Amino acid sequence: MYGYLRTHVPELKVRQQEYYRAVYCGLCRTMGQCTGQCSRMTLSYDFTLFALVRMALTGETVTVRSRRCIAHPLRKRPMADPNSTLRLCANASAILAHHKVKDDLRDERGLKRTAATAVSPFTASMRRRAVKAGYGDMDSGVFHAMKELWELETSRIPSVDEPATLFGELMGKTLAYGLEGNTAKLAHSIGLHLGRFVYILDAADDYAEDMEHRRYNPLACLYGDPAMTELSDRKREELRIALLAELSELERAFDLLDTDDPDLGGLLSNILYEGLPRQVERVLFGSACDCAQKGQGKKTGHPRRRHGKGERS
Amino acid sequence: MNDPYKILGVSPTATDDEVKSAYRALARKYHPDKYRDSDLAEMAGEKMKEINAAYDEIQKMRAGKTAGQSGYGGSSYGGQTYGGPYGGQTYGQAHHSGNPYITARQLINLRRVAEAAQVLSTVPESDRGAEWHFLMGCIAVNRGHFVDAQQFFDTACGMDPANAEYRDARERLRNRSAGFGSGQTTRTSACSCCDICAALACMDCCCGNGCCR
Amino acid sequence: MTELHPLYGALTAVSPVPAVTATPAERKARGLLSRHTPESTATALRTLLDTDRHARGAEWYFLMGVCALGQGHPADAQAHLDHACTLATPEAVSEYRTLYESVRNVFEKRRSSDKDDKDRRDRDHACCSAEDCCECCFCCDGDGDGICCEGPDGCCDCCDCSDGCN
Repeated sequence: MYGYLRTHVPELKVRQQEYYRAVYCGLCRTMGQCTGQCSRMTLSYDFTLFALVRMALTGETVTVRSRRCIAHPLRKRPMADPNSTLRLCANASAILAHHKVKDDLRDERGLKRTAATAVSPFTASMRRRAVKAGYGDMDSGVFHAMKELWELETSRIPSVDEPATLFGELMGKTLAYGLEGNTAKLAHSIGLHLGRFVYILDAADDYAEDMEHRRYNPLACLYGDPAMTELSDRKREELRIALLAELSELERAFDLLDTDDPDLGGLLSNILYEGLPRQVERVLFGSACDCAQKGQGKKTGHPRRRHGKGERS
Repeated sequence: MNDPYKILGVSPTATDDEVKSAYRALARKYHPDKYRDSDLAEMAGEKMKEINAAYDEIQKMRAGKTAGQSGYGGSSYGGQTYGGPYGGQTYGQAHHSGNPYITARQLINLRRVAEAAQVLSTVPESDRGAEWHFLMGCIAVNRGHFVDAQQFFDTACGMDPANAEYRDARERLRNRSAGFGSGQTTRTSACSCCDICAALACMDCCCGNGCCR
Repeated sequence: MTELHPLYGALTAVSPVPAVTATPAERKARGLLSRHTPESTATALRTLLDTDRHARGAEWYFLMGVCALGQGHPADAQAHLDHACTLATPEAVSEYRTLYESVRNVFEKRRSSDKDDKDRRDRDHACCSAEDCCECCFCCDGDGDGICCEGPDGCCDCCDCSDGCN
C-alpha cells in the first residue's frame, strides 16, 4: 500500500500515540502469525488506519501487552494482542500486497519489475495462507477489481476519478468485509473515500517521475499535455480542491462512527483533520514538512523512528 | 433506552447549559443538512433521533426534579435518584389522576401538548391560579408561541412571586438566545493519577530512543 | 451510473444549443446532457469517448467536464473544464469559464475538513446558517423525528430566534 494514511504525531496525546503504536506493532505481529514472517515487510500505516476504523465500527477492543519483537529485540514495547480485526487486516494486507505485485509485474519495467519478480514468490505464499484461512472470497474480489482497474488504466481513459473510484470500491469492499447493514454501508463509504483519496494523491505524487520515465499515470492521461513535466500550480490547486472534497466526505462518515474510547476517537480525528490534510500539502506543495516529520522518509517511516522497511509493497 | 447522559456524552451532574451545548454540538454533527446529498443520510437521521430522544429525556427528568424541589436554585442535580414531582410518579404514561395540573404536567413532559391544553381547559376560570398559567406557558413554549408564553409566565410569577420554577421558566424564555456561543462540548476524558503515571512511562519509552536506530 | 451527483443539478444548466463548431457527436452529447438524467449522462459520456482522439476541441472537453460533474468527479471536472477554457473560442469561453469557476467554488465550499474550519463551525452558533438549527426551532424537537429546517437556506419560519434570523 502507499503509506499516506498517517497520524500527525506532534498533535497526538502521548496516550493516543501509545495506542497507535500498540495497534501498529500488534498488526505487524498478527501478520507474522497469520501470513508468515515475510509478510511483516509489507506492514503499512494504511492498514493500521483500517484496523482502527474497523475497531471503531465493530466496537472491538484490544488487549495491550508488553512484548519483544524480532525487529526491535532489545526493548519490550506495548503491542496489541491479535484479535479478529487485526487478523482480518493482516490477511487483507497480504492479499492486496500480492495483487499489487502482480499488477507491477504486468506493467512495470526495469528495476521495479525486477523487484516485483523477486518478491512475488513471497507474496504468493502470503496470499495462499490468507486464502486458506478463509479469505478466498476477498481474494477473488480483489483479483477482479484489480483486473478491472488494470483494464481501465490500459484503455488510457482521460480520467483520474474513474480509476480512483474503482480503487475506492475495492477498499470499501475490503473494509466492509464481513459486516452487515448500516455498519457495512458506513465501512464501505469510508473505504471508498479513503481509497479515492489515496489513489488521486498517489497519482499526483508520482506525476513528475512517471512523466520522466514515460510510465502510466492517470493524471497524465487526464491532462494529456506532454509538455507539462511536473504539475502546474493551477493543477495542484485543482487537485487540492478535489482531495479536500474527498476528506469532507470522509468527515461525514467519520462523524457517524461512534466509539466510546476517547483515544481511538482522538486518533481518528487526528488522522482526518491533521494527518491527511498535511499529506495533501506535502505532496502537492512540498510544505508541511516541519521538524517532526523530517525523520520520516517519503513513503517509509515509523510512528517513532525510521523503520527502514518498504512501506510500499 | 440507554442512558441519555451517555448518549449526549455528558455526566449526569452536568449543568443545564452543558447539556444544552452538548446537545447542540451533536445536533450539528448529525444535522440532516450536512448529510442531505449523502448515502449516509439515513444513519445520520437515526443518530439525530437518538440524541433528540436523549435530550428530551434529560429535560423531562430535570423538569420533574425542578418541580419536586421547593428551593430550586438551578445549580446541580447530581447523583440524586430521580423521583417525579408530587410523590414519585413514573412518567412512562400519563396517569389520569384527579388533579388536572398533575395530569397536564405529565402530558407536557410527554410532549402531548394538545391533550394537556385540553385538560387545562377543564379547569373553571375562577380556579386558574399560578400553576395553571405556568403550565399554559409551557404549552405555549412547546407550540412555539413565545409571546403568549411570556404573558402566561408573567402572570404566573405575578400570582406566586416566591416560586423559583416559574421565575426560572420566565428567565429562560427571555434569555433563550443568550445561550448561544456558550462553547463547544469537549469530551474531557478522566485523568486519574494512573493515567499520569502511564503517560510518564510512555514518555520515557518515546524519548529514550537509544536502542534501535 | 445509478444517480447523478447532487451538485450536478445545482451547477449545470447545459443549454441544448451547441457551439457553432461542434461536431455531430458533440451536438448529440450536449442534447443528452441537457436532459439531466443518469442514463442520458452515461450515454453522452460513451458518445464522447467514442470520438476520434485527434478531433477533440474545447466543446468536447467542456462536455466531458459536465459528464464528470454528473458523476461527482471533482478532479476530472476541473481538469476538463480548464482545458476547455484554454482551447475555447472567444464566443464560447464564457459558458465554459462560468462552469469551471462555479465547480471550484462549490467544492471549495464543501471542503470543510480542515481543522480551522471545523473549529469555526463549532464556535459559530449563528442561528439559521444552513448547517445549524437553533434550539428555538421547534421542528427539531417538536415531533422528535429530527428533520428540521429543510429549506435550502436553513431555517424555516417556525424558528423564532430573535438574533440572526430574518
